[in-house]
Amino acid sequence: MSTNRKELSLKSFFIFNSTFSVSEDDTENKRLFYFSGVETPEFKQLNDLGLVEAIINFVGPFVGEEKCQALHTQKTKQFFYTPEKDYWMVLILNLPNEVTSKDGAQVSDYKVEEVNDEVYRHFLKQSYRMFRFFQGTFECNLKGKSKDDQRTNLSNVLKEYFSSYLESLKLPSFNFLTILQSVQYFPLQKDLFLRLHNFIKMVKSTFTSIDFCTYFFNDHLVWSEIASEDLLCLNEYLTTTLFPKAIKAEISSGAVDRNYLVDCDRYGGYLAGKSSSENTIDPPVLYLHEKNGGLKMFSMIVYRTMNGTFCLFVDVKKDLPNDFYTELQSYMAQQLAKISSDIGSFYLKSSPKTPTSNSDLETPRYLFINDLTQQHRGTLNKQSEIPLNISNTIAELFDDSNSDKYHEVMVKSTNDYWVVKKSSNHRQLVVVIHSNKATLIDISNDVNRLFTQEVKNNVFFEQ
Amino acid sequence: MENNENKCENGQKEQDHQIDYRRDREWLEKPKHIFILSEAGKPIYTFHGSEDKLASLFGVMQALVSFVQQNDDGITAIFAEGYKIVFLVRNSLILVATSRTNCSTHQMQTQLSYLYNQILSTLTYSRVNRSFEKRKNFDLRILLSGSERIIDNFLVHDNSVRKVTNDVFSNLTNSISIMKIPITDRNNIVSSIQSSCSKIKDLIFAILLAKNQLISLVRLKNQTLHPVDLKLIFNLIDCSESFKSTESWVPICLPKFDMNGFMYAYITYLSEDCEACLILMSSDCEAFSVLKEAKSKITDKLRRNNCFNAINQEIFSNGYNLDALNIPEMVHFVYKPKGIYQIICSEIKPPYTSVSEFKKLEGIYFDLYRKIHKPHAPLKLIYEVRESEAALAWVTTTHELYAVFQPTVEKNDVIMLVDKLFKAIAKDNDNLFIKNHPYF
Repeated sequence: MSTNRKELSLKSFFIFNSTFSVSEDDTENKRLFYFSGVETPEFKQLNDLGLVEAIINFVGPFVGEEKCQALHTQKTKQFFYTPEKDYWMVLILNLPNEVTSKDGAQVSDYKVEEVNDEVYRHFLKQSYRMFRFFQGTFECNLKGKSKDDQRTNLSNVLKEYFSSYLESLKLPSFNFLTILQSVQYFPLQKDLFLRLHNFIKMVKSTFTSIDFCTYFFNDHLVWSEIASEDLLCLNEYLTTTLFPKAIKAEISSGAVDRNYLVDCDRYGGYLAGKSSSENTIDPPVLYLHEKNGGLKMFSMIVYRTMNGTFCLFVDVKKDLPNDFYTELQSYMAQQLAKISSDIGSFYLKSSPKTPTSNSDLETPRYLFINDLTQQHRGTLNKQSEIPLNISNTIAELFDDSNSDKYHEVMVKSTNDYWVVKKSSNHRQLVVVIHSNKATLIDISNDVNRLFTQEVKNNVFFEQ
Repeated sequence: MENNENKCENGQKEQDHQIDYRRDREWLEKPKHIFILSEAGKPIYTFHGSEDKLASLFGVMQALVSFVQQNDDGITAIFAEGYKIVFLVRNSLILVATSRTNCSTHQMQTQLSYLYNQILSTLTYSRVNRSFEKRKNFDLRILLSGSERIIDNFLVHDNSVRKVTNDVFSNLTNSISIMKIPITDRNNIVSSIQSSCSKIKDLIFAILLAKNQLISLVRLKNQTLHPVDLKLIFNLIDCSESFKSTESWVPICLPKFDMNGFMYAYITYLSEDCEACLILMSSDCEAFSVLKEAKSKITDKLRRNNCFNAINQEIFSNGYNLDALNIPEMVHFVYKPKGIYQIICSEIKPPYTSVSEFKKLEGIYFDLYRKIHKPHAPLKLIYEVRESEAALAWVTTTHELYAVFQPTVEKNDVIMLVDKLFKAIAKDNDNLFIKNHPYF
């Protein structure tokens, strides 16, 4: 008897709008984008699309079409999302599968439960938000005179954006963190906080073309003036694209081994802006939400020094003077380096200590989440090696939660992990402890200790 | 039957107005729907409304199933916000359930599979097959007519549509409720049945039940009665008021026992002063008079041995009383020993005595059960505190417990209260559960 395992994989990803087809002869017009990683015949693409349309039509009368979320078959899970009226995004995954051969016969066992629906529904949603962050809405990409031109233009934009997005996609790396939809937050001491606040105020009053700012230390958010939905996208862009590039450059230039303070002029610089450095890219143009919910285009200038990253947003319609970048740098480089360096010292002292060994989960791992500001902090992060069943259990606990009301849930898994989630007043706390001896009372005491200590130690809950 | 009346009303209304189901808000918003159709798309059953008016909907469901089948795959479920649709395809039949509750797809599939067995119990597997072999678009309703009420009855009980009853939890846990009877009385009941039936040829099972709870099961050597089959019998008894007034002789297929053959059930209530139902199941279709004679012997013996009193006492009791055990902070519980398909539940107390509150209780248990038995990520324990209650689910090597407490209960006390309950159950174990179903 032998077993052969196939991991979770992307079957296809497509975007369609049924209203683009007016008759039986032009059904292919519905399909705006289709990706499967391999050559797929047109009839097959339209078949996949047709099934999703049929499902939506079937469910529609019972709950409303826009509420349709997923289809499960024995071999796949298909997720649907309609971000704009009549537009549907579809993600189809091949389930992990174990094929057992016994006496010449093959038996397939599809692991339905290993794939958490919430996680992938959020992934699909986030992939739309990222698109909108860089390209605006689907609707606003319908550029051209005729309907055909408009559709073709949108189709091209989708193809350009999503093809590379999907090709670099690593599927099994999604876990409960995907559904948190919040940014890792680092709270400052009051005096440091005020210094940063004053600094930003001064920069903005000196350079009046700057509309908003955000400040990150490492990959933790410290200061933000943009909508929380945009912040999630910014955070994803910085942590997956800009930061890795910057860190690589810093390592190769030797900056990390030296004394930062002395070299601050030398090692501070634009990641996005205008400079002679080859590590600098042109400021990307991003779509941010305005207070009225509409989208507006801004260029984003990114300056990094001493592990602090300062993002400045400027309305694209504004013309910046030629010497803007040099003026800005000479104005803020020193001050920003000093503040970042002081934040760095405070960070080392106060940041939650991540247990050194990943297998050591007897030390509680925790996460505080503020749903109002979509920010979180704690020791439960991407590096925590949590078994898949526990990650899925956590995802499930988030699934049905309404963080407004008081709710506390404690669960113990068959492999002796305890997961505790407490929520009230839009704040949530999740704790994971591995222990085969602890009782309900022990765990409850541990969690209460952690809770009191965290609330006492930082301003997170005051915000 | 409340539900039947409701169904008639619906049917009548649709005939009057001839409206499209897509525009019938009241119908669309039902908390649950059940549809059964043939692989060719021919309607067989709908829980609400009339099949003929829904022909186009049945057509869509059939198309979805066959479209996915063409890709060498099978449709299992569709999810929308707050809504689930589950599919089960078995032996030329397509069964579909929709739900607005938080029961899991697995639970819904179990329910559909039960309904499939319900159809087999009326027709047998081979007869269903033969019908469709002869004609693909055969109308199975011709053969099923009259048995829709049995399906209706199961569905009413499976989910607290409008009844407050612990029966919901035996379906949830795939178990049978056992009537609490002192072990000496239960032994007396069993020996009364054994001594009256031991010489009857082809008698396979003798079942005594009341209030949807099993009192005793006596069986032919080496034969077992699967809980699914037993549940089919429970449901049949529960929905047939006529058994109370007259003795009946009913052919029935027990799919787990033999999916291709019928057994013959002699069904009768013991007497006017003891409303327990006796079912004698034989493979001989001519056994009626022999079984009738056995019944009167059993009744005499039970009356003489004072077993009527023991049974009546439980028929008129409200069930396991937590106040009597001095565990008032626990509001309700469901307890299931490992390895046997039997449960006990406590008496339903306020606030859960109203239908709307009971629905909440049901929701809590559905949720706990789904989470603790998740196939890839099973759990040992769940403790949950909300504003209106605290709830516990606990699975060990020897038992499963689901319990709801007052919201003010302290964690320290929960452990103590559960411990107290376990001790009380252990002490009463012999009276609460049936370890082994005896032979004739």
